[in-house]
Amino acid sequence: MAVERSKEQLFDEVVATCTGLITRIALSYEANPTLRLEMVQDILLAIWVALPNYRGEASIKTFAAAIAQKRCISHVAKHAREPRQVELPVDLVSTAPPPDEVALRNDRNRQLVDSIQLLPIPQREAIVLCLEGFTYAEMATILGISANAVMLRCQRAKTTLKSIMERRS
Amino acid sequence: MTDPDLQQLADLWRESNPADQVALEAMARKARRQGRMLAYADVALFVLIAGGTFFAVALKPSPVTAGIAIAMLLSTTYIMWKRRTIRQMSPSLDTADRRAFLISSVKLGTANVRRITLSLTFLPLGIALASMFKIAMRSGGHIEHPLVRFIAWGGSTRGIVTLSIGLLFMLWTYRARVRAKAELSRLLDLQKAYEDETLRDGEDAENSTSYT
Repeated sequence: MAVERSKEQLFDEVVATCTGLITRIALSYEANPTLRLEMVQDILLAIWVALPNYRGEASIKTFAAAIAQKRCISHVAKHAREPRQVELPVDLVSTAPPPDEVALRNDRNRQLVDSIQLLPIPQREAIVLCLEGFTYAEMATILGISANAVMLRCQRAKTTLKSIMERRS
Repeated sequence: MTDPDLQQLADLWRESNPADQVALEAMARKARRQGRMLAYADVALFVLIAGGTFFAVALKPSPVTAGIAIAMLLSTTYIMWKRRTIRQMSPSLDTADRRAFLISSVKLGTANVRRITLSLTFLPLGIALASMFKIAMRSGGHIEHPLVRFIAWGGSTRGIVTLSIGLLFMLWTYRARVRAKAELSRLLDLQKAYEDETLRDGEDAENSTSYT
């Protein structure tokens, strides 16, 4: 149970299991790498401050994702995103030698990130959680809407996302 | 998630993790440190105020100073506790639904714009009054021709420096107001986007029911 674990232990768990999730959520809201790192730092601080409120009703991953999403919305409200200050690099850097297949995958990856960043925020947060593997029930807890509404929103987001990706390719 | 397209996208999405774990762990350590510092800052401020109050009472012990000291200590304790609670339950951390989150953010944004507008409105008057007070203090508590004296003071080196600082502060406040208004406008747009999305949720739910 969460109450039996200290704030330190819970935060260690967040760092060990949720940092990938947090960086990807931040990536869906901010294209500028410097601002994105600031955002991740801000999210981690917000999680640390909010941990005394964690009662263990949902998983720590759900708790972290809920805070991350809200911090990102606040970030979007504070900083105008259009026009974008920094464009994503044309090709994502890979440590391995870039064979065609890897290049193609990187290109698709960049295209996906770019397209997600173009989605309206309500759809974006739903699809990101969906891609992160959250169940509809968990997503409903994070977004504060019914599981049925989450499902419909994900479907709509997927359709929009695919059409953006097709148009861009 | 059973949709194969979505599964493919999810695989692709989970690969897009641009930050490395070592850097993230360093960030987490920094966040932990900052979080602790925030808590210590509350305690330090309390100790400073309480210590200062006790020192003042020790210098001039009387029922009045003791009474004021107690009132100050009580209010400081209350404010510190409240600040801590608000920080933990601030709109961005509260795990309530998105609608409540946006409503509280818009309220906060509106209050912020009002607060800054109020400051901006009263700032010139405040600067003028403070300057006149200072001039009056220097001339034995009275001024015969306030406007003439004020203009003369405004032309002096001291006056130019003071008024320039005041002007800079006003410009800074104006910039803060522009930013706060832009933030509020974006929050309102977001709120509208969520309302539209909720409407679409309802329409889609109705359509899916009518198909079945």
